[in-house]
Amino acid sequence: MARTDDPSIADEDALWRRILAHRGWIVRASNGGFRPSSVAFLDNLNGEVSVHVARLTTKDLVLADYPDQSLAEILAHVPRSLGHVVAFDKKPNDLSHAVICPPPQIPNKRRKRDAREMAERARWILLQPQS
Amino acid sequence: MAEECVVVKTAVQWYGVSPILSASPWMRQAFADLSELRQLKDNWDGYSSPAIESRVLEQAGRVLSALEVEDAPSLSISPVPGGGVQLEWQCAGRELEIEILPDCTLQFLAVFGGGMEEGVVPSPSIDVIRCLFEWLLEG
Amino acid sequence: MARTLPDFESPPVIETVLGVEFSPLARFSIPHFGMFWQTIRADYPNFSVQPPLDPQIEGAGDGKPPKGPGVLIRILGHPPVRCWFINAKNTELVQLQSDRFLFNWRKIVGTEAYPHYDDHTRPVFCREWERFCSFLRDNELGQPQVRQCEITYVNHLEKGQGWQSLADMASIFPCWSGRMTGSFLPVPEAVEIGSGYQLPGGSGRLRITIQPAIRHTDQKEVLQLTLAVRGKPASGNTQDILKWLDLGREWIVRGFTDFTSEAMHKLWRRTV
Repeated sequence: MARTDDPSIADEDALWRRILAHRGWIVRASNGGFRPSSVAFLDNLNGEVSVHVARLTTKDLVLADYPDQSLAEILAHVPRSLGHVVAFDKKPNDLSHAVICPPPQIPNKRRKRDAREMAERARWILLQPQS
Repeated sequence: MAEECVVVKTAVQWYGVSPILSASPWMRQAFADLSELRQLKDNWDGYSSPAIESRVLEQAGRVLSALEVEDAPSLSISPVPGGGVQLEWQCAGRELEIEILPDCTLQFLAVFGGGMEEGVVPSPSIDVIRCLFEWLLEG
Repeated sequence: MARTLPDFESPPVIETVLGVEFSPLARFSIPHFGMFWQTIRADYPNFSVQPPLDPQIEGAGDGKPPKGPGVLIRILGHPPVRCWFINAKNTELVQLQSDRFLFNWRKIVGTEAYPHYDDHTRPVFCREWERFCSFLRDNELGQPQVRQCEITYVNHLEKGQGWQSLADMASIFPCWSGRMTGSFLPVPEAVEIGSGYQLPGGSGRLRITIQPAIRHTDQKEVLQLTLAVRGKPASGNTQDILKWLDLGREWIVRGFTDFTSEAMHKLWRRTV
């Protein structure tokens, strides 16, 4: 069933995305620094990108089992401005878990552009050294 | 079901190989990077992504083999959640992403000063891949 | 079946190809690919569209490479495509274009046993070729005017299995001594070998090529040893095609055995 946007996640809510400790996942940004690769905001399983609502968790909890990963943040209004849905997907051990879902029309003709835009507008909460 | 498959050279052989004599240093490194992706196990990202299938890696190898250039700009090879592979180049203000999806189809994103263009690479697709790469190098 | 040709328990063969090249079928067009696929779809449920193969007719007795890619003028109206019809396990393939029919077997998992020519590859090729010929007859598309048959064995000698660097070439291939007059040159970065051998009575030519390569499926470094025989059968009927393929296969197996060292035969566990 298609997800519906959850207004209890405000536009200003910060969404945290774990960034894999793989050198391909962290690339040069146009300003000379580093940003997440667009792959960090893609999903080929069901299109849903897992994130954590920052106000309901902590950096240490999100990275508890992944100490070598980095953490990037985007505000909920960013995917929403691209037509994506932001909705909770709470787990028994993680009430902060949410998903960013692509627009309902299939195929999504902006799939890669949207992922790229989210990656470009993400900011680092924690940037680990790359492997 | 249609299986998308990039054919590098017209040959009777099914198995794809890249001759070492014509493999430049950047291509050998790329194959080494692809080889690393084979080591990823199920749930490699902590979000239930399956391991990258051999046929996806094979397709990525075929895409790389289609690029017959001695010097290529910096290449980044990444696993994509859900079981794909992305090849990503940056060159003088232009960027090209070629994603190999789990069903071996190809999608691309071209980034330039004025914006972005994305699309599906049709099969047979050597010419399209080479055109995209030539566009990148013109930057 | 008792094996009379050299045989190995664990040969490095990774792909075999049996094929027929014929004059372009004048009435065979795009819709016929789909119609033919329907007749074999139960066995080959997947398909892929590829660029067509150029003609590769072996010149009798001239020793020159087969007439292959170059400036070719394709006869107008012949569909410039090749269709792949692939089995569900991704191990067998029927390739079809208006002037070529090929059957490929390949090792996909890496550990499955090689299906011997007599027990599997030959009968399956025969079945698929006859299905194709029946399809042509049933749809009044003419019968193939056979110009050439081909049989190819692709072997992958993986780095680390019998060899570590090209300094070991002489221990794999007795014909390559690796000796130099002086000591200036280092160990080669790559060695590519190509040799040709005439079959008796002008029935064809065996070409053996060695090429170091990187395999796409697993990015392993291999020595690709390819033995390919091309030539014209006595006639275009199935029995003569099979007879020619049997001869070609014999030359490949005996040629492979001659061309590779006893040390490698031991590694591959020669039994005959």
